[in-house]
Amino acid sequence: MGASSVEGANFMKASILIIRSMVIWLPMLLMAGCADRIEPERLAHVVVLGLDLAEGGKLQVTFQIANPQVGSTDRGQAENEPPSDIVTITATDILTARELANTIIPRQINFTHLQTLIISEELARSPHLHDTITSMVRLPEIRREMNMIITREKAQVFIVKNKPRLETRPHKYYEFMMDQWEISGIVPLSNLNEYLKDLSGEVYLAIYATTERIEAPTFEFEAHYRAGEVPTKKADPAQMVGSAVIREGKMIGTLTGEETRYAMMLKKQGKAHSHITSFPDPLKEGERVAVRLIRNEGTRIQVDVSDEVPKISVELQLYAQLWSIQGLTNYVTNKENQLLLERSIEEKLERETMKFVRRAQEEFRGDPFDWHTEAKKKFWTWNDYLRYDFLDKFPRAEVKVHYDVTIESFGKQFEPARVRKD
Amino acid sequence: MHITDGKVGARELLGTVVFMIAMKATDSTPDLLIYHAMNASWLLSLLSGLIILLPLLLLVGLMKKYNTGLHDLLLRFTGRWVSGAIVALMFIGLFISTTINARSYVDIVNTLFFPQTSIPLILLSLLLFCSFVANRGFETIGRVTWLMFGVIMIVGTLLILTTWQHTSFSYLFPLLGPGLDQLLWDSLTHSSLYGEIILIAFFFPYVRSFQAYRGGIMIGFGLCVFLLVLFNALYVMVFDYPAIEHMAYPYQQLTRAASFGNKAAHLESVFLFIWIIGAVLHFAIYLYLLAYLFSRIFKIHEFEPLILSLAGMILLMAGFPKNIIQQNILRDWLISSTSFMFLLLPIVLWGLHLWKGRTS
Amino acid sequence: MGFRTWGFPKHRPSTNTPPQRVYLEGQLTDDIQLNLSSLKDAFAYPDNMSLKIRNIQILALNLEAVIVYVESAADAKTVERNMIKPLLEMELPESHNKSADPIQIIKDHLLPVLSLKQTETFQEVNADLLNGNTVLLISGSSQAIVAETQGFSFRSVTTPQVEQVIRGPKEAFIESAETNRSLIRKYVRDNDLQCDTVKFGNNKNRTCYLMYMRNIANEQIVDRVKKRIEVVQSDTVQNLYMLEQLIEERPYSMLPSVILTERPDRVAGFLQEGHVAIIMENSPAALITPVTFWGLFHAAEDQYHRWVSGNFMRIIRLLAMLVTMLVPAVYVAVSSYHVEMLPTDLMLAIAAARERVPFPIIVEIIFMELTFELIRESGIRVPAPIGSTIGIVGALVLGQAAVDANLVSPILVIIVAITGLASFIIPDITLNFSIRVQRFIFIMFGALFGFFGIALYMSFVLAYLVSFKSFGVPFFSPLAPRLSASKDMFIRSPLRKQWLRPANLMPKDQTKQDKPEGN
Repeated sequence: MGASSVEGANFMKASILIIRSMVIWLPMLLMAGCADRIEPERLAHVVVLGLDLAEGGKLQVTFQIANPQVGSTDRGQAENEPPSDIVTITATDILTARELANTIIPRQINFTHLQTLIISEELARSPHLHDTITSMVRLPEIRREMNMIITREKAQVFIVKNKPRLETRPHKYYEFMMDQWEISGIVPLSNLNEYLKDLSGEVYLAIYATTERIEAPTFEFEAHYRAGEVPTKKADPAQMVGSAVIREGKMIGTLTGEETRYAMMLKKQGKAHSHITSFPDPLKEGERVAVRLIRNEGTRIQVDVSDEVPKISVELQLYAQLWSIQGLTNYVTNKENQLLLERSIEEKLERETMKFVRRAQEEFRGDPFDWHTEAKKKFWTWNDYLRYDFLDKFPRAEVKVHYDVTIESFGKQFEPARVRKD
Repeated sequence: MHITDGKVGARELLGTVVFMIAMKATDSTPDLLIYHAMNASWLLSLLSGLIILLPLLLLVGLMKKYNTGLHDLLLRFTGRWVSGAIVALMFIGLFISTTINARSYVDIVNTLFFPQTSIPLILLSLLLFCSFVANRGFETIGRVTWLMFGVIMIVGTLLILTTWQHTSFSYLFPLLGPGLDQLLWDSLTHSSLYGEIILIAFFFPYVRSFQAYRGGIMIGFGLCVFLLVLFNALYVMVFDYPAIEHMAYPYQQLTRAASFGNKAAHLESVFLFIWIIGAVLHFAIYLYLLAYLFSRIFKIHEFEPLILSLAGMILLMAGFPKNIIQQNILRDWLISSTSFMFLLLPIVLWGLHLWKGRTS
Repeated sequence: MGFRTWGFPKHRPSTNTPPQRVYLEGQLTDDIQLNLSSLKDAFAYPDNMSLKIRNIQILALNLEAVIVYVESAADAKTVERNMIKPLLEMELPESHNKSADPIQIIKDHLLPVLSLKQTETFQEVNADLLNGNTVLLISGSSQAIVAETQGFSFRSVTTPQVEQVIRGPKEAFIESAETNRSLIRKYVRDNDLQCDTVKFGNNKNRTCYLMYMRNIANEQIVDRVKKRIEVVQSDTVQNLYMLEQLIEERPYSMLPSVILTERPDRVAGFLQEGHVAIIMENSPAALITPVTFWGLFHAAEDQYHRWVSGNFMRIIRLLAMLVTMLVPAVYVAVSSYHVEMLPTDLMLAIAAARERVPFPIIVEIIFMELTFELIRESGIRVPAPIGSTIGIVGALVLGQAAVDANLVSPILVIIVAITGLASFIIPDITLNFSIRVQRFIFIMFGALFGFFGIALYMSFVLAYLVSFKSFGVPFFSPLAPRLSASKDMFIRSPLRKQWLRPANLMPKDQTKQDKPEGN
């Protein structure tokens, strides 16, 4: 350290003095720091949070607390305890509810492993949705990547009824369902982070789920269902299909599964990039062809903001894998049939997509596709962008959507085998 | 033996510069930048870097000519009293800055990770360990920062990789944010973001050679600008503009968003760990610099014992701002006022050098 | 500190050490009987059977002489064969000059012993007798001849006990300094291998041998080491292990300033880099100074394996070092403060297992760690036949039983087991101990302040490591401060590319081999 030995010795003495005096105040330091320490078994981990509207503008908060002793390890197994504990409390906000719940639950309620937020449609349609969510985000324990689900019935009812037969532990159900979103595309990606991005008049899509059963005609298109309409008998109670449309902090409608798919596909980089769907067979009336549509590259979106009315043109390149031909038409080796099928798929997609876009423009008056992000690229400064007010002009925008479908594979059979009739 | 001569080489200097400045990408500085420049905070950092490049080059040129550190240059050109005043001014500015910074780091730790632990306690532990590290000398600081440099780079890359899937390049648009004129003015007033690169010139006597100094400074500066731009851009790309204005601690939130594939990886504690080590080194350098400046004002030779007392003073003064909003306001004011000093100082020195050259 | 002992008589350590009884002083006299009687007094002859005296008549010179040696220190057969026999039987040729100095004649013509010297002080005679040499006193001469006839018994060269390798030489040092030196010389056959004798101790009666490469080692380092040894006053330094503690700079530090190794090939490697080796009697090891982190971290075997295997082992070792220091602390920190870091399933499993355990996590950890340390220490002392049984009993059954008795949770057994295993990978025993102690300190910090505490202490440890110096050489060089090195630090490059010597020892000769092509 560059000190001469005498000064070094003095310094040593001084430091030894300091260190010895530490004996007095260091234990205080050491003991005072444990304020945040808590043993993991003293915590009650809320894995699902449900929010409902109660009278007088209050909130009805439902906590679903995971029981560590069920389904974790054999050693700690508790035979007669349920997999989770569900507590519902009415309070003015979530934190107060937590404090009140601590009068019932002996462990300390803790949000660190909270992955799912369930909000009833009633609350979503009221003006309280926005302030509930925003005030929740302030708490450091709450993560922005938390998923948001909107349910038709009350959140409390949904949570209580949602007992999937193969998943004992509640958080597993939601965790596994999350991975499904990428695969089927029938539900959107909805988490708080996305919600907080879409507060300026865009339209935000949240997952829509229910345990109620709604009578609906059996559609040809499997994705035409809304949550609750999927015809099942003796199945697990909860269904998650389609989305709830939220604009300016309020829910204004719902989308079917198919519409949600279009919404995800038309985004520049949505999460759903492949799903299986069926189309009518163009050569045989009444029969259907099932394909997997894969979107490998991002969607090409061109936004033209030179005029008063923005012009948006969207191009999608989809690859189709033909997996089931009900009508046994030969789309495999027959080139013309292939082209015919491709055209037919493209037309159907374009028609349905334009229907949905028009619905978004007229009914929802908002942009669920994040096209405003593309529009922003055309401006140099925020003020320019705000002055143009793309979101206000969106309902009047001219939108063109073009699909380009290429069939790239046919499964592991060539042309369909026919029954030989003599 | 030259290895124990107490001097550092280019690599250690590089590590020191990076820890001094690039750590600002991870504390409450992005909040300020986003407040001023909206989604163009990355551009703001870049412009600030470009603006301070010229004074930096002037200073390095001066140092090459006279082969001496900043303190000597000040003495030579401005005499004892004026240079003492300038150094005192720098000391005060740096002291307030360190106090507020230390407090803001502690606030982050307190709010997000240890809500029930008292703030003075966290502050005490942090400053205690910083002074332990700083006490061991500039050589040690240089070596430790060089040692941790590789680790920080790897961890930074890991962070970028795990958050890449959440980024969307389009969120950076519109590129100019609030407008070019506003950006330019803001980058001028915020150039003290990189101000420490001028202050590091005080440590020239500790560096082995001029080439080592220049190499370390220039590469370090470039790296710092790059990192600040990268992180600011990353925050906007993940969280998007209006939302990020309301977020308090973008770096910690970013670490929460880190995920492997779709599964949330919950890695924020690992990043916290590395961040704390970075914070300790960051403040150790500042403490050392403060002690050095103080000793230059009053011509003290052995200044390492001062470090502990300065840390104590910081501990006391850091109790003044009540919460992070007050800190941010103070910080903004401080940055704006010290920017001009850092920008003008090398220019003034260069001017004096020319004048002396002409008259002699 | 000013705390008085309130009236009790202060215990003063006696300032008078009992004087070393200097039995013999001064010079030998002409009178052989006088010399002999002084020696007899010194050795309490004939009560003490240690001294053996043999009167002989030297045939060639027709002189009386006495052969004196200490029994079981000198080899009796050697004395008989090489000293008594020739003196009794040999005759000088006729042409020889009879009037020359009898000592000279004996030395030149009569004694076939390899190493002879003349001496005239009693001090030297005493020391030589104790070292196993034989003294020949001649009547009429005030000088004595001392012949080296050491006959201490040593064990033979065996395989190393501690630093075992799969690939590589399997020889280890033994307690004989001469054999050790010969082992080193076997590995380094070079003119420049210098061996200096350094005497230290109160009466300068202890010797150690310094070996280094004259053309490589830096003189300043060698001088520093020599001075440090010469300053040692204590007389009870029996072997290198005690010498190590007396010459190191910081006795209280966690890190060693010197390395003790029992393998001559390692010593050879160190010598080639410019280190200094110290050999001493009764020590089956060599002391290497100065030491850097790499000396403690590298095992001998790394260089004997190919690039892939050598680096693989190094990486595992590095991971093992981090694991053994940090894993228990991280576990405590994560479960107590940072529960959000665990995946939900793991956290529920931990919580489930812990519900039945009565103690908080820190107590659990300290309990298990201490148990593991107990098992480890007892494993060293237990006699070999029972040894393996204890291992099985201790580790498995104890852990299992503790879990069943709800004293600890199962995940903790895994953690402690992994930590323990990882700590065995560290090659150097002193570093091993330091890391084990550090582990406890980290646990304490983790329990108090979570990751924040661990990170704070870690930065302190790093700063300390980097500023630690061993005999003037920084501990982490050539990584930090960065100096030119032979690309052999955390990861080593192929042997062909290791052509530089690390510059941190300031070697005189910077290159080991010619610069390889294409570099």
